Amino acid sequence: MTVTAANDINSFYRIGSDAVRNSLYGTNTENSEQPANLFGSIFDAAVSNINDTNNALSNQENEILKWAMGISENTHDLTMAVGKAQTALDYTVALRDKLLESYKEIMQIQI
Amino acid sequence: MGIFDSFDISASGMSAERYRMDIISQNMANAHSTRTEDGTPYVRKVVTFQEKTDVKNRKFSHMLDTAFSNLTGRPLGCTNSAELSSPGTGVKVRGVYEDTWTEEVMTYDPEHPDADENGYVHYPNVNVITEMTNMIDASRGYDANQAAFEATKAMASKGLEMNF
Amino acid sequence: MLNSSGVFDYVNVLGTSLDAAATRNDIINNNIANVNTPNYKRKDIRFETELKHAFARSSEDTVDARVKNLDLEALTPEIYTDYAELSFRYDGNNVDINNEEAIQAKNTIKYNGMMDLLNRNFTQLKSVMK
Repeated sequence: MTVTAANDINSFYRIGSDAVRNSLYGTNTENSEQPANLFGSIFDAAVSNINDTNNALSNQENEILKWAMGISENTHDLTMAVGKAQTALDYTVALRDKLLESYKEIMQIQI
Repeated sequence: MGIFDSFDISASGMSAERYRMDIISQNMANAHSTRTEDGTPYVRKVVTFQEKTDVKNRKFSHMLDTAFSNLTGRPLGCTNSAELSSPGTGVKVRGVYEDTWTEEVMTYDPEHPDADENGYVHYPNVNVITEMTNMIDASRGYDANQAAFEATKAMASKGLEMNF
Repeated sequence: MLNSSGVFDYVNVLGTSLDAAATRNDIINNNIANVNTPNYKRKDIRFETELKHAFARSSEDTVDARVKNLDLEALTPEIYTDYAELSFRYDGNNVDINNEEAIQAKNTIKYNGMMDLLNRNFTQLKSVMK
């Protein structure tokens, strides 16, 4: 079951990272309980990903408001929040595109 | 601490040094004023500074250490470093005092309109060389604060760089 | 998913270091502003050694795992008053303006470098999603 690890952005980012190694040996420590079915696990991963993206975006809005009100401590806080939100959004959008693409491909299969 | 508080720190330093410069100029301008409004010669003025502190952000151990250090010139024995919770808020002018410890200059000149009954004129206790030295010191302090201000400005703009 | 993957672990460490550099800048500003204040003692922060110790104390095997398990909340810089060189000046002040400017120059370069690294980190993440 390598679906959760493949959704893990980290596995693309650092080839030698623990996430890749764990997925190779099939021992993902973070999600030890096996999901009931393949589609369910993909769906769960997508939903938790969207939640994380929403959190990153609201965190960015929070920093923007703090900046606008002049109560932010440093300028890099804003930059970091925007960077995280941007990365999360890019990742989610890329994931959505891939999912839609595969859905279309499956629907075109001739039975 | 907000972002702009660190600008205020450098700004307070610049204001304080400029105020000191004003007083030094006043001393130099009056280096030969033998008469003020009350008839006595001009007395040299001295500015002293004090750290502007945020009392609610201080820990008691630090206040104790500072008080002890102010009294004796050294910190309180066992604690050689007192922890603080705020970086500080700059400097302020504590006050302007009259220099009562430097002797005034007496010159024998009976023709002078401000000469006393013995023919001596009381010139102010202003030494122009001392004032010049203090002026260089104040100028250096101002420049250093200005450099710090520029560094902070560069850092703040760098922190907003988003080229990802 | 995103957060537990640890993709922002290094970014978070960079953020904490940037916070420390910003705090140090404030402190150096305050030291410079008080260069002529009688009995003022210079202040500084301990951060780099604390970070080093936090890394060294970690029982994890890989660097990634150590970075992931750093307690960043506990690494908020600790401000202290430096009572060294008491006999340096007659007025009880121990601020050496050249020293402060040198520290500030180092600190600014460090901050700029970390900011570049932060941007580069995000660029790298973006490039894998093209």
